[in-house]
Amino acid sequence: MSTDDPKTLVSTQWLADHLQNPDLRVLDASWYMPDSGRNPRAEYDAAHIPGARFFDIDDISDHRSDLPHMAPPVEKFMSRMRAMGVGDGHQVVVYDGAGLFSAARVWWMFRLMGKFDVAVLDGGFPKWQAEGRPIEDLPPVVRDRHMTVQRQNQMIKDVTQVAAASKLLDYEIIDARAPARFKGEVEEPRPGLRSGHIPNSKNVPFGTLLNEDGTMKSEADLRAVFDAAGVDLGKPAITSCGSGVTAAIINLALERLGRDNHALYDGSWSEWGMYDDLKVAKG
Amino acid sequence: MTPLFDRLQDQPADAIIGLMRAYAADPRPSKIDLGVGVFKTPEGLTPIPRAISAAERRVMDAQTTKTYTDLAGDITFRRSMSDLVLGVDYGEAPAIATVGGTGAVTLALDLIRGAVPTATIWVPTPTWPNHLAIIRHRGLPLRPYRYAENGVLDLDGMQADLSEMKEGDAIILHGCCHNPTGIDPTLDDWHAIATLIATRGATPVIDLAYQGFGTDLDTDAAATRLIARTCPNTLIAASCSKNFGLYRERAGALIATCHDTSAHDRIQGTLTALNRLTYSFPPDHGARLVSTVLTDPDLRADWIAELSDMRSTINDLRSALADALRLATNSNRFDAIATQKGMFSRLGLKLDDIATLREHHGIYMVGDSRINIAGLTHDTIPTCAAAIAKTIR
Repeated sequence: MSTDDPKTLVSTQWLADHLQNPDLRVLDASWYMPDSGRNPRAEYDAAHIPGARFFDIDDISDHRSDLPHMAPPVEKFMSRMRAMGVGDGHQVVVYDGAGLFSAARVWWMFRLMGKFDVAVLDGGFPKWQAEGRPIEDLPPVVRDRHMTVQRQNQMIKDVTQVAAASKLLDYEIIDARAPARFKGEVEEPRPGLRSGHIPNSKNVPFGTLLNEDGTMKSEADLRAVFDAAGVDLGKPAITSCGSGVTAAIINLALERLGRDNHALYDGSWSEWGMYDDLKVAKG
Repeated sequence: MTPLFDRLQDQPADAIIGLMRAYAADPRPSKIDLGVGVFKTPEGLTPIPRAISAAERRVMDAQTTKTYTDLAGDITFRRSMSDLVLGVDYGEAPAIATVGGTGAVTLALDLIRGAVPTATIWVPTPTWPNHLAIIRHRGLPLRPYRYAENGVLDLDGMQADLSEMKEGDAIILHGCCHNPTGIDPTLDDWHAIATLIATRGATPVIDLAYQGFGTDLDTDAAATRLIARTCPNTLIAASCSKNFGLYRERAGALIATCHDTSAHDRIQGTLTALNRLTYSFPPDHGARLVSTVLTDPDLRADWIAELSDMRSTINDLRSALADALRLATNSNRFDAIATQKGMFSRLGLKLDDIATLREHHGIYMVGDSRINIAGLTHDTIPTCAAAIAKTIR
């Protein structure tokens, strides 16, 4: 069973116990792969945890970039959060409709913005629903709340920094994509991208960090997964995936293990796979 | 016996001048010069400001003699420069015309050396490399102080270093548009810095080479004025090269402010003697053009308008470059370029990257990755940004 920690992961029971807390904010951060056929906004409109706001990962991003859902500029994050009534002094709980898929990305984004009172709901909406807990289809009543933001630049890496780490081996680069994509055995879902992985990166598919029901594995099991992948947990880490969403699940797992020196490569394979002048490893 | 000239040592090549030569010799038409600190129009020209041309015609027609002027330099020039730098409300300050802003810096150092032979000169890291060279040439002890790191002001480091200043030491400050980083302290930061300098009993030497290139003439002088109000003695080296487009005429002024006005005559005498001891009389032509522009309301208004256009050109290029680099690198590491001030920014590139940009892309910048923003055009920014992004991957 998970240990409730309002800075990483909380159980459905913890959320149920705290749902009436006036300084609690719940966010539905559902986002699915374009080919999944699911519409996260429509699903939210139909059913969500009482009081939850919908956090649109595609909208709350840097629209000046050509890459998908890059981290937003601080001003944009602040103004969107203020409009959603999320601000200073709030404990935030994020969930998604897949169990754990995109919620960790928003957990990471809050931390990037210097807001550390944020946790992922363990097991997400499926577990909440399966336990027969209350849901509603009403939009929340939102009041503006001021938010002060301090961007934590050490938590995000760009291609230059990842390219350097790939050569210097001073970071563990951990890739959350499925093994077939990591090995370069299948085409990338996004057209025009090369197949393979960043040289010297390790593969920890995000699914291996989760139990069957979408909850996160115990610390001992997480440790075993990283060990099996050859990840040196003593080293600082950079996480990566297809577009920077599921990579954050690795960051969450590392944080659960008490590691605090981990960053996310925001461009991820959408960027690395695009440039012919960057080396690609296969197998 | 060793003849004199055999004792001379080879001088280190001046990085910027060497870069100018290499650029000139590069046959590629797509080459881009981001090296030397000169304002350029989109056509790559460094024009003579309209008001300066008009003043030059006026001086040519009216001037009847080339006999010596005042040892301290023309009085109208000194007054109008003092007003420009300190504001018209300040009143009179001792000043001399000098051989450009560099001449003013060297004479300021000579004044300090004469008064306090043991003075240590504190220099920001980074700074204009010639500051270091001319301090060393004078045999003055030099101490670097932390100024900017990773594209942001290191105020804590700066204050920690400067708390070791001794009474009588002097400190080089960039009044605005810090060269090479483009990073300026806020007025609150300046207040803390000036108070620290005054408390330590040190003398600020303000290099004001870009007044009017940051925000506007008065805002760019605000730090200088604040320091002059806070510190009992301040030396200000004001250059007319960039803001009046008078690069080759070598027009500048050394201005001294002193809270004890009874010392003004002694200070003025010392400044004048420094001119006399160094080259007798300061050059007059560029200085006369400046004072003609500053004292004629129409010319002055036109100059301010043209200076404002130059500034907008640079600031537009800054925004465009920051946008293009954000798009090309998918990161915000270059965002600060948009808000930095003046002609320069430092990209923070490695020496290898700078060499690659020069060899493969014909983009020339100094070895500390300082770029002259005005060397870009809206046409060259996309290729330049793409080249930088490719190089640092």
